[in-house]
Amino acid sequence: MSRPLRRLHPGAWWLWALFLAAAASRTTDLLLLALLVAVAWFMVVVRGGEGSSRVFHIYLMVGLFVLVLRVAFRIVIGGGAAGDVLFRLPEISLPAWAVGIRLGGPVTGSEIIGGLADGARLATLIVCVGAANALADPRRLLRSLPLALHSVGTAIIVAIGLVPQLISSALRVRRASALRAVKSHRLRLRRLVAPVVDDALDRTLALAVAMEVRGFGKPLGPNNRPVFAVTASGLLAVAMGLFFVLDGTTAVGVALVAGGLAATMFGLRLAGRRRSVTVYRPEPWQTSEWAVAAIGLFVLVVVLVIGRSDPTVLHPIGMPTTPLPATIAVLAAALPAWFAPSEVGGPLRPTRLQTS
Amino acid sequence: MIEFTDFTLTYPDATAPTLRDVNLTIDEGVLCLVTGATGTGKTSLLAAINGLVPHFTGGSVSGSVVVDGRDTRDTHPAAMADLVGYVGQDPARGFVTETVEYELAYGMEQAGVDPATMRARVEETLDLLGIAQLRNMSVVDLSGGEQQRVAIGSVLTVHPRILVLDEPTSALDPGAAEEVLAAVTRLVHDLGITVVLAEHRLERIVQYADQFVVIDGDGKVTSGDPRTTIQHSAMVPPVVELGRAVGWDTVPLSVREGRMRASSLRDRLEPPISLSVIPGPTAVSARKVSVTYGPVVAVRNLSIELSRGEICVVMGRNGSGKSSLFWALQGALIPDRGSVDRTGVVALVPQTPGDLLFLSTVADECRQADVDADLDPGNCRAILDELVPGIDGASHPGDLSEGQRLALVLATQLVTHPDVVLLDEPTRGLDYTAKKNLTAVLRRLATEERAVVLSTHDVEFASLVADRVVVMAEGEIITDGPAAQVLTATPLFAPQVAKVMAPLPFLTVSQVMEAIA
Repeated sequence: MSRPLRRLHPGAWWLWALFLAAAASRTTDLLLLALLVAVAWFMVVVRGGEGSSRVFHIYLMVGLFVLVLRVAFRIVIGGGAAGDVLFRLPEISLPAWAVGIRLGGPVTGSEIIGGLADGARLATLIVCVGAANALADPRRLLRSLPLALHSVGTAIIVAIGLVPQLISSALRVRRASALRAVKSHRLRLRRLVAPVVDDALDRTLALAVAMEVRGFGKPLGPNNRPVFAVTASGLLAVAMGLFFVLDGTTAVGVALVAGGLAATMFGLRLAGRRRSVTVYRPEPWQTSEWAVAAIGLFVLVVVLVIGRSDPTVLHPIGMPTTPLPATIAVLAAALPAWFAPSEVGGPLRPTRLQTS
Repeated sequence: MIEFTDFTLTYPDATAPTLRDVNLTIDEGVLCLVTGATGTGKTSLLAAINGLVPHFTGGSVSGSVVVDGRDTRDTHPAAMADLVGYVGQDPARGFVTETVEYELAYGMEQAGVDPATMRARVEETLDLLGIAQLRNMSVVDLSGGEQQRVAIGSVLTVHPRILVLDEPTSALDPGAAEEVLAAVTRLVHDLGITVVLAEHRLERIVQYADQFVVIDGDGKVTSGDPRTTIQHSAMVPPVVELGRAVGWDTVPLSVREGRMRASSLRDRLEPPISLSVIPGPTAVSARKVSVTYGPVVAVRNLSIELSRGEICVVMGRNGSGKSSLFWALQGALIPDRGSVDRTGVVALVPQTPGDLLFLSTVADECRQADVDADLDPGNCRAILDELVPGIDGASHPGDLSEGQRLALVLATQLVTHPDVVLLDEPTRGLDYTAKKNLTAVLRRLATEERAVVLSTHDVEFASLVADRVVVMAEGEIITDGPAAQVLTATPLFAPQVAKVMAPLPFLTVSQVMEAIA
């Protein structure tokens, strides 16, 4: 199958990954969660850009840390769940006001499994966001923001860029502090902070000048309150809808999200007309993008439907009872690896043919 | 094209106007060179062209600046972007996006150019400035010369008719500076863009200029043909100084013109007697030092001995390991391999001297330096007054000129009575006068039996001050020898006088005058 030679729109990857994350949030089935992580990982390995594996590994590590922490907490601060006691920790008696909290004491198998399931769910969420980051640089996503949000996107890009500059400036000053010994303790902090702050201010001013002289912030047309009202209420509806979806009130939630998204898009489109800004190499949103996002949505819908028909299936107590439809849906989420457009030819990412 | 009429600019809180009664016309297609001592308002004059002064900086203004029919009083700088491309002193600080390609497109995005045209213009500009191979690079990974060319490209894409460049080559090594100036002259000649360019180091650019603008200390501006105007300028490149000193009828502006006029002089003069400095005892010696940052080797297996009473100039491309060597010699940076032996205190003035200043007045900085060195108050101030007299103690270190700030940091370092003084690129942003003062200061430090080591890209400065020149490349020393020998060996590192007088090994105007007398 020949694929178009272009990059997939970053928004498609983000939607795909966030739908997977939403699906993960609806289950504590360890096998299903492991499968989700595997699919996300696989996609990063075959479709991630340069440096993506480094980004992804950070998220993997954080996910693992969360998992371990969650289980450790369950063991130490046991909830006193029923079941066979595996082992006993020495119990620390707490004062009367801390009633309900127990440190140490008997640890049951179901408690560990419960912690594992909880931790794994959170870890999978983190890994999915990590996959989104690795598959499409969030800065690229910001570039694809609607024109009405252009200034916000620019501000975020500038802020992201400022962090490494601040770090390098701080390192430089720290090193320079060795050249001029200061005896007074009172001045020691100032000695390290003042030059960095000065430098950051200088930098900010220089950047402001550079942006100004290149035409940033030309005066806009008259402000339009109705446009703002439409956009804001749309966003509010999306937020509420997401809340309902995550809470399990699916029908209302989906309706709110859909309606809210439509209102937001409409508002942003209206607002974007006021700006005379264009986007360099706009990333097209075509069939492949719809397909990638739809596959992510498909996984979420399958999980939601299964969860609705029988809530216990996706939250097994003890051994995973992974339902077959959910397994197939999650595996299907790996399909974009074969059909999504890629900057480089060939079946999967070539190892030597680099685009530079 | 650009018309200043009775333009006077006074910044808030300033006692005197920065620019006074400026009447200046810059015609279309001209390469206009603006010069003047540090702090005389070169940047202000440039920034007035697109209205940054006073819209962005504040200040009270009388008179007018009209650019292609637009009065800057009524036009916001952002609305001038399609007409005037402006590149500030440190282009790296003005980058908005991550990669070169998007940086080139940024101005066009703001101007609302349609995507297809943008694509074509980015490609065009990449080729025009010879930066096509950098297209996908992150802007932070560029070298100084590349940064400058990308910055120029990023304002060129909107097709401005005027390009304003504030000291485009001051931080660059000779090779990178040539590249940038070649690009600029190509823009003037091939595209007919009007270029207004401020520069301290006239030797590189004056021969290409069509118009020469000098800003005097009192804010008055003189403008005219370079050849005639430069006669009255206090700031001149060495080849002009030579012409004046020898008394040629017309002043040569370039090495070529200098050589043509100097042929009889070369026949008549004897080679100068090189006074070989007998180096004093060794103050610092490094043996097989290596400094690495991850996979990058900054200094490679390098050995060097520095003697008391000697001024050693270290030259080499940006990134050739000069700074890392200095930090290793000072001791703040422990080399990965090798050893450094020091027989006394080593002081270092880093590339950004401001990193060492953290108090709010000059007087406080001096007092603190005395306290930290266990000295009576007044020591540091006395040294500072010797270096650069007359700095107001109440002024903020950030408001000082480059030369003054350098002197302040040097003074705080000299209170510890170091045996070795290392200066990392002290000549950035210094005008001819400040460089002359610095030369005298360094010479005195050397006569006080100290070892003085500095790095610079400025071959003219090196020719004035150096006893010994070390050239580095790729973290290694490739040349090490007496200044007269090294600075006349390759054209890249040869000062103008050496190029004019070759094959006679003269370095400075004063050497030539001594030989004539």
